[in-house]
Amino acid sequence: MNCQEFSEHATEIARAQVMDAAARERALGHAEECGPCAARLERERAMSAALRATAESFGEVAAPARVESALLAAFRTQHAAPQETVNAQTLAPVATHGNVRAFAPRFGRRARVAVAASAIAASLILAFVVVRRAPQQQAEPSKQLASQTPPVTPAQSTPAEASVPPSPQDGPVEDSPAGDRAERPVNKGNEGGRPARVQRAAGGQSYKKSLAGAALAFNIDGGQAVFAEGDAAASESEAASLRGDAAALTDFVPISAGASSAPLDGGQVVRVEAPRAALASLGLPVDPTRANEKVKADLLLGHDGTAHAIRLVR
Amino acid sequence: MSAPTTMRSDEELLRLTLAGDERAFTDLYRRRQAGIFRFALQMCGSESVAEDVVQEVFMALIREGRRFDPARGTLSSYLYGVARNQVLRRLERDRHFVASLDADEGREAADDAHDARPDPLSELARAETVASVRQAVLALPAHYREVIVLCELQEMSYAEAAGALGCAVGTVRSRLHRARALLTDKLAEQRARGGEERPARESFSGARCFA
Repeated sequence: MNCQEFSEHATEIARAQVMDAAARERALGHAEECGPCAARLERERAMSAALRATAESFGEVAAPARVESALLAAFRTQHAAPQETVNAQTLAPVATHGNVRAFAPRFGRRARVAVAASAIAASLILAFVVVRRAPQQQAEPSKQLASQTPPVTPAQSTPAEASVPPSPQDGPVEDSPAGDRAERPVNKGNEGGRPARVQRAAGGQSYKKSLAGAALAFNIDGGQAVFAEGDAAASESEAASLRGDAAALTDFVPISAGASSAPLDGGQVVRVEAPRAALASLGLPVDPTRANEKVKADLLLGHDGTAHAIRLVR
Repeated sequence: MSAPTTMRSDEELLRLTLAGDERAFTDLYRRRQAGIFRFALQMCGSESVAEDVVQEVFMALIREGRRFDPARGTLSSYLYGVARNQVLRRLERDRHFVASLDADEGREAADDAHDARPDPLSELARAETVASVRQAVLALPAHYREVIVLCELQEMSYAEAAGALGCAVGTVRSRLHRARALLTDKLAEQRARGGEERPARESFSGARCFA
C-alpha cells in the first residue's frame, strides 16, 4: 500500500468504521513503516477523539417544553378544523429534495398563484351553474329584481373553536395589488397567527376573503352570509364589511350544487358579471324585461373553489 | 388490542398522527425532537434558531405529513431533511450569525463548564478542545458542516446521513474526508492564534449557544 491508498483508509480506521479487514491490516502496516502516514493516522485519531468529546458535550440537550406545547396546540387546531384552514400559508413548499420539500417564507408566488387559480375556478363554476340553470329560469319568469330588493339583514357572528398554531414568522396573508383598497385585520385573539384580511379592490371589481390562521367561517343561513370566528368583535367587523356594503342588492342565496348549511371554514367572495337570466335561475330576483343585460354578483367560494352562494350587487 | 404508540415505528406513528391521534404525535415528537434540535443547534450555534427549526419541522409534519413517501427513505431522514432545509435557509439569511455572537457569553459558558468538573486541569483541556472544535465546525462551509454534524456529532452512518442529505453514500464519505481535513486546518489556525490569547477565550464565541 502506498501513501495515496493509505489516505483513503485513514479516516475509516480513525473512526473505527467497519471496513475490509485485509485493507485495514495493509493500511496499519504501511503506517508502521511510513512516518508521515503514521502522523496522519495519529492526527485523524485525535480529531475523532475531539469530535467524540464535542458530541458528548451536547449531552441530552433538547427543545424546551414550550415547543411541544405550541405544537400540540397547533395539532389540536389542525384536527379540530378542516384541513388547510390552519396556518394555511405558514409553510409554502417551493422545492423538493428527494423525500423532502423545502419551505419558503409564506405568501410567496405559489400562494398568489393559488388565489388566482381559485378565482379562475370560481368563474368556471359559475359558468357551469349558469348554463345548467338557464332552462329552469325560462320556466319561472316571475321573479323580479332590483328596486324591490329587500334590505340586507345584519349578519351573525359566533365564536369559533379553532385557534392558530404559533409560528416564528408572521406576515400578511397575501400580497396586495396597488390601489385604493381597504384592509381589515381580523385575527384578534390568535396568538402567533397571521391576520386574516378582507381586501376590497379598487373599482369594486372583486372581493377576496383570504384566511390564514383564523378559523373565520362563513355560513349561509337564511340568505345571509354569516361569519363564525374566535373573536366576536372581529367577526362583527367582518360581517359589517359585507352587510354594510352599499353595493349589495340581495342577500346571499345558496347554490344547490355546492351549498351547505354547515359553516364554511374559510373561503372567499369573488365578484363576477353574468346575464340576468342566468342569475334568475339561481333564485335571485331578476327583472325579466332586462334579462339580456349583464349584472354584477358576489360569489361565495369555499376553499376548494366550490361556489356556495351568490348575491347581486350594484 | 393495539400496541402502545411508543412501540410503533415512526411511519406508523405518522399514520396515526395524520388520522388525528394526538398521543401518536406526542410520541413521535418526543422520539425525534432532540436529534433535530441538536442538529439545528450544531449547524447554527443558536438555541433559539434550533427551537424554531424544531417547531417548523413538526409543523410541516402536521400540515404536510401526507407528502412523506416511505419508498424514498425513512421518516427520520425526512425530518432531518426538512430541518436541513430550514437550517440552510436561516444560514443564508443570517450569514454572519456566528461572527455576531457575543464572545463574553462563550467565556461564561466555558467557565461554567470548567467549574462543574471534578478535575479542573484535565477538564480545562477538554473544555478548550470542545470549544475549539465547536468553533471550527461553525466556521466550515455548510455542506461540509452538515456531514460533520450528522456523521460525527450525531453519529449517523453514511447511509443515514445520505438519506438526510439526499445524496449518495459516496458523496457523504468524500465530503466527510474533506470536512475533517478542513477542520484540522481550522483548528491549526486557532492554535496559531492561541499564542496571543487562550484559544477557548479567543475563539469560541458560541459556547453559550451550545450549552
